[in-house]
Amino acid sequence: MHESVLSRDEISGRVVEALVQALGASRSDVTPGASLAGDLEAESIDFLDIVFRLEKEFGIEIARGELFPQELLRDAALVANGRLTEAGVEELRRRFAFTDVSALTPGASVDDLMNDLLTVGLVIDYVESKLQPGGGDRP
Amino acid sequence: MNLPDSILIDLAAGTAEGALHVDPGAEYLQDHFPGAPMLPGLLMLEVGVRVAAALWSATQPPVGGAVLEHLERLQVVRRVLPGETLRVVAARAGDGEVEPARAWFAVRGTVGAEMAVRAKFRLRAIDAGHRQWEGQHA
Repeated sequence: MHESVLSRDEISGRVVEALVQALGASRSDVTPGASLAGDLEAESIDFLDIVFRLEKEFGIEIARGELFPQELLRDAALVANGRLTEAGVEELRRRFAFTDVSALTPGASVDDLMNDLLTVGLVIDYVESKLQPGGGDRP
Repeated sequence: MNLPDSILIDLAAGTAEGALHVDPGAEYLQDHFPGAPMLPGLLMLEVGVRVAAALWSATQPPVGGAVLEHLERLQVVRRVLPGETLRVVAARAGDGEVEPARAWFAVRGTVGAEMAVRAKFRLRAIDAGHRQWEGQHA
């Protein structure tokens, strides 16, 4: 069951707490602009725990690859030579419609993308969208 | 000393999980620290290395063993006290294959739902001949 009517600040505080717990990071480092992989040194194995903690904290279900698209970024149709194809950009824009990804362009480096796109702010945006009516139905 | 007590490999998930129960009578607690015993961070790392090595051995052609070659990060954020059980999960880290004899791993250690340790390191495979040599000169 979804949490009812949480403010952006409440969501943000609880997301930050979940990330602090999952990554053992200092609260002061978990800012909206902080990159999960780049600044907080999260690995794939950490993403599993982050998803688990968010599901538990907010009573939401997060499908595999919905928030952290590592598998998608290994799809040869979406990524070529470590860079996003047009189809890759289209797919990521569809997946991340809850946040502003207008800067995504074909040719972007996947490594840079993982560093720049997956921020604390993106996780907050994601949870906020999931808590909206119908938010749990997103593919 | 068994270190860890057990290791379970999940090939489908690409992970291995080891468990170490910190026996209050364990020798390694005697001087770490008198009056305030806790699992040494180095042993947390050793458990992680062994769990990662087990995963590597299960997913690659057999190797004579693996040793820690490079420690990129070790972050101990919680004490593990006598009577508690540390669970360590290991997975391959990064997509880039350096070379067949080397592999990167990330590990997470938890006590219950609380994170205790995170680490990222590179292991190097050793061949059976080298292992035998080590044994002869131990």
